[in-house]
Amino acid sequence: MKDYILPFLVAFLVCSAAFLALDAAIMNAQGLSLIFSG
Amino acid sequence: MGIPQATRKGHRAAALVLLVLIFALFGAGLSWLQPTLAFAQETAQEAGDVQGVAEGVYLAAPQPTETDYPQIAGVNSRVVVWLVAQLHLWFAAFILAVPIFVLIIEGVGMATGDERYDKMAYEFIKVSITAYSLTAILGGLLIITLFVFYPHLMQFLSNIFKESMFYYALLFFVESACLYVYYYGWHWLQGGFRKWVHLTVGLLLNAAGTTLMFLANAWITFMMSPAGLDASGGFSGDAWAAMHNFLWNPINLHRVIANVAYGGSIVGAYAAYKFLSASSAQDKAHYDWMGYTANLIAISALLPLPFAGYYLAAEIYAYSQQMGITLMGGIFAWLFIIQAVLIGTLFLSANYYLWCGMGRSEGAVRYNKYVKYLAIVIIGAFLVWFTPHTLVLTNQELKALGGPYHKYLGPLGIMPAKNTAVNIMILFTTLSFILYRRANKVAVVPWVKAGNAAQVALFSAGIVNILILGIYHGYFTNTVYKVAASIPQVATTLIIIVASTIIDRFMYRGARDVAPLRWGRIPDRAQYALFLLAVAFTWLMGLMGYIRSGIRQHWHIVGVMRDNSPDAYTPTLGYAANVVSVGTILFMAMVIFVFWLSHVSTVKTVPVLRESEA
Repeated sequence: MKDYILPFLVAFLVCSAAFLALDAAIMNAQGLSLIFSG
Repeated sequence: MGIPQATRKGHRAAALVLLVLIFALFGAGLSWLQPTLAFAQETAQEAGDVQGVAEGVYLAAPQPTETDYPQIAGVNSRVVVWLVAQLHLWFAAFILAVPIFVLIIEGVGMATGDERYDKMAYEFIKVSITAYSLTAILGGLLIITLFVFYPHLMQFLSNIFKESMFYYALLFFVESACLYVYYYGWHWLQGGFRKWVHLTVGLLLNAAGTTLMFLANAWITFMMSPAGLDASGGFSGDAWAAMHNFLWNPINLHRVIANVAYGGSIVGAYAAYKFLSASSAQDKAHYDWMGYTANLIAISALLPLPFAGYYLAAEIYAYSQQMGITLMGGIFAWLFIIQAVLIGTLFLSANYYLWCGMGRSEGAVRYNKYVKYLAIVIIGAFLVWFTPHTLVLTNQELKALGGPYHKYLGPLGIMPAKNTAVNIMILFTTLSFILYRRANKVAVVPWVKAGNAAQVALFSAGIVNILILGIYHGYFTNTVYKVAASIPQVATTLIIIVASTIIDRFMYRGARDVAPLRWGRIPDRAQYALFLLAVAFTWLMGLMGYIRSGIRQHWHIVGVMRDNSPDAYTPTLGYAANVVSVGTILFMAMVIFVFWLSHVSTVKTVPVLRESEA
C-alpha cells in the first residue's frame, strides 16, 4: 500500500500545482486573475 | 481478391455517366445564369452601383420579391433543398472521412507488415466507393434544386465564387481519378515502390477531398459571415476575402474532426452488419476486429469534437452576438438539449461497446468491477448535460414551481455545469479505453505501482481542477469569468488525455499478454451499440446542420441579401426535427443499400446446369 500512497500524494501535489499554474496562466492571458475581484 | 469484371465495367460506366452529368449540370447552371444576371444588374443599378455594373464585377446583392422565387406546384422548395443538401452532406462527410483513416490504416499495415490491416483498409474503401457515386448524384441534384428554386441567390454567389466553383468542378475530377486509381489499383500497387505509389495516390485523394470541402465551406460560411463586400453590400472583387470569411476556419476544423468521427461510426455499422450476418468464426473474428477499429476511430475523433464545437459557437458569438444568442439562448436553445441527449447517447454507446469488448480478453476480470463506477459517472454527467435551464410549463406548473427555474435542477441548466459535465464525460471515456487496453496486458516494468499511482493522481487532480473551475467561476463570478474558465477546463482535459496516454505507453512497453485475444467473442448486443452510434451521429449532424443554417433566420446572406421567399420564417422545432428525421431515415435506407451492394459484389452464383448440358 505504501508503494501506492506516497507516489500518489507526491504526484497529486505536483499535478495540482501544475494545473493551478495552468489555470492562472490561461486566465491571465485573457486579462483576468484566477480569483474573482468583482 | 478479384473484382468481378461486370462490376468493374459497371463502376467505370457509372463514373463516366456521373462525370458527364456534372459537366452538363455546370453547363446548365451557366446558361440559367444569363436571365438572373440581367435581373441582378437591374437591381444593382437600382442600388446605384453604376460602376460595378459597368465593369461587370461589382454587383450588389439582388433583392428579389416573393414572386421572383420560382415555384413548382405541390413542391415545397425549402424542404426539397433542405433534404437534398443534408443527404449530400451526410454522404460527403462519409466519403471524405473514410480515405483519411484508410490511408492511416494502410500505412500502419505497411509499417508493421501485418496484412490484416491492408485487408481491412481495402474493405473500408470498398464500402465508400458506392457511397461516392451517391454523393455525386446528390451533389448534382443539389445544384439543380438550388438553381431552380433560388436562382438570384445562386447568381450572386456564383458571381463572387466563380473561380472557386470552377476549380471545385476540376478538383472533383482529380478526386475521382485518385479514388478510382486508389481503389482499383489496390492489388496492383502492392509491395516495395508500388506500395509507396499507392500511398501517394491515397494522400492526393485526401488532399483533393479536403480542399473540395474547404471550398464548399467558404460558400456556406460566406452566407453566415459575409466578407469582401463594400458598405452597400456589393462585391468588392476580392474573392479571397470572401472565402476567408470569419467562420471559414472554425467550420473547416469542426467538419474535418466530425467527418472522421462520422465515417468511423458508419463503417462501424457496416462491420456490425457483417458480424451479425457472418456464419463462420473466422468471419466473425474479422468483422469484430473491424468494428473495434471503427469504434476506436469514432471515439478518437469524438473526444476533441465538443471542443471544436465550442470554438465554432464562440466564433459565431464573436462575429454576431445576435446570431450567438439565437443559437444557444433563443429559439434553437431547445435543440441543444436534444443535441446533448444525442451526444450523451454517442458516449454511452461507445463506452458500452468497449465494456462489452473487454469480454474478448481472459484478463478483463481484473477490471470488470470498475465498469459500474464508470457507468455511474458517465450517466451522471449525461444527465447534467441535458438538464434544461428553463422548462416549458403551464401557468399552474409555474406557480407550483415558484418561477421558471427549478430550485435544485435550475443551476445545472447553465453552461458552466454542462462544460464541467462534458469534460468529466470525456475523461471517463478515456478511462474506459485505458481499462480496455489494459484488460489483456500485464505490465512488466518495475515502476508499475508508481506509474499507476501517478495516473490516478493525474486524473484526480485534473477532475478536482475542472470541478473548482466549473463551480467557483461558474456560480460565484460574472459572465466574463464563466466563459474564460471554460478554456483551462478544456486544457486540463487535453493534458490528462495526452499525459496518461504517454504514461500508459511507457508502462506497458514490452508487456506480456494474459492470453491471445479472442476476436469474435463479443455479444450481439454490442453490435447494436455500433448501429446506435451511426444513427445517433446521423441525426445529430442533421439537427446541428439545421441550426447552423437556421441561425441566418430571414437572410440568405446575413445582413446583405434578405430571404423574401414564402418560406422565409423559422419553422417550429417539432417540424424541423421531423424533416431531419425523415432525412435520417432516407439516408439510412441508402446506407443499407450501399452495404447490400458491397455484400452482393462478393457473392458468386454458380449456374445450375441442366442434365443435357452436364
